[in-house]
Amino acid sequence: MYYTSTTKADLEAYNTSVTTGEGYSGATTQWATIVEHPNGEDFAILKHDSYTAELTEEEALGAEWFPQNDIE
Amino acid sequence: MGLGLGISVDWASLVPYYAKVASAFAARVKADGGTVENTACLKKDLKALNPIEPTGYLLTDYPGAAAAYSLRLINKTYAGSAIRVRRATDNAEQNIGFASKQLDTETLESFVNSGEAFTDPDITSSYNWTKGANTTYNAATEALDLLNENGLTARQGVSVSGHTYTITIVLDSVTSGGIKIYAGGTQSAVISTAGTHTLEITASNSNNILGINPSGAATCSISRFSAIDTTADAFVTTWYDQSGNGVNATQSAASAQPKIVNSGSTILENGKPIVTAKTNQTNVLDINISYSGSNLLSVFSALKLESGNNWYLSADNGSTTSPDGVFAWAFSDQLGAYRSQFAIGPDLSLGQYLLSNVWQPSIFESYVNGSLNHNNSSSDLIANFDFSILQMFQSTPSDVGIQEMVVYTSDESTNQSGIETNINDFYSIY
Repeated sequence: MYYTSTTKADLEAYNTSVTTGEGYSGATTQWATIVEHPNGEDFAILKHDSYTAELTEEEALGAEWFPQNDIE
Repeated sequence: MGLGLGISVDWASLVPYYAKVASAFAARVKADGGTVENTACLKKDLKALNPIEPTGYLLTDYPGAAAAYSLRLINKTYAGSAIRVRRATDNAEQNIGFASKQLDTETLESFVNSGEAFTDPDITSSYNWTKGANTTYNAATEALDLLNENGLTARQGVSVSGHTYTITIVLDSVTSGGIKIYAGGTQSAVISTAGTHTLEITASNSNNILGINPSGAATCSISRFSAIDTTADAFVTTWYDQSGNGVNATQSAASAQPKIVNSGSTILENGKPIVTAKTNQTNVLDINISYSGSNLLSVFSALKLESGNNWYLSADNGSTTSPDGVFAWAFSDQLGAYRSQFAIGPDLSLGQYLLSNVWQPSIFESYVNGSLNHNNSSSDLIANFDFSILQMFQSTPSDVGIQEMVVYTSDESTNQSGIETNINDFYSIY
């Protein structure tokens, strides 16, 4: 499950809230890396099972989010 | 190793000479009008004459790797850890080393299965505990006094289903009745005496609640509760480079870290530990390794294709979404490599493989389980292979496991057979 938004800051805030809540330490510094859609306008982050936010949910990200598939 | 002649020679230093001597001999025979049908056999015979035994350590016998990652000790002089892991229970991390030249799975599992199930489980502070209406904190005894109410629960939104916990509970006093431990719908036997009690309980899937229930009307004082998850998962945050170059493979984002322990047990493939990447994990382990120039590259990897067929061992110059090149690539049952030009071999089914990709001065060759899968001499494929980041996995989506990967920024075709034998002798892939 992913959260998507056109406002990257919203996803960054979610990432921060999970990271703080989970208390990562050592080599782990954050919950997830924000995925940027090739269109430059949409962003996504993997949803943590224990943390919710008022963001749009997507079951999965389509292949269009991963341009490396072009080499196929 | 000494030869008894006052000369110290290591096994690896002799290996390159097999090919040179074989080639020189073949040239001499041909110059004299003879024929040589199989130089490879000649190399093999010369190797058999080598009086010095290999050490068995891959990097010691075949030195010069730019980066090397393995769940076994492959460098005789390497004194560091194998991996750093994060246990899911409480996100604590620890380095894990080797025991008897293999990943120290005993220490790994001991660490992973010793984490508290909940953050700050101190019952005396009542932190993260949901108290019943008749439960009070007793400052004098630093205990929670339970008086015939609906129980205490620790609710932190973590999944308890299927997990087994070692519970330690201290009851300072039991005036009437007793309590039961509750885990996801499962309840323990009634505890009705004061003292320290330790028990194991496996949670059902009714809910994500772990806690204490009164057994009917109960009056007691509880001063300690500990729940150790003995069926935890653990993930690799760092896979240490054994080459001596300090090029560690890392992943700082928890959600993208590959798994090494599942439900308390080290994940194994063919009896040996394996690091696994699951669907939806991308850029699982990033390796910052600079390579530019000679176009010579040799990558040996022991890996498992578990499900799906779209994965990469890729390299690029900074972008994590547009690989500059792909060491090893699979899609729709095909195996290949990519660098402006495809090199695609025959179908490859799911399973465990030893994959060897060797970029030589004028040809790229891909071997699967010691046999040539395909080759390509296109200049687009072998030229200008520069990269700064090696992504051990790039799966969208598929499940992939890897046990070892050794990268040489050189043409190791001469040593290829020996390296493959070393890897296969340990992992028994084919």
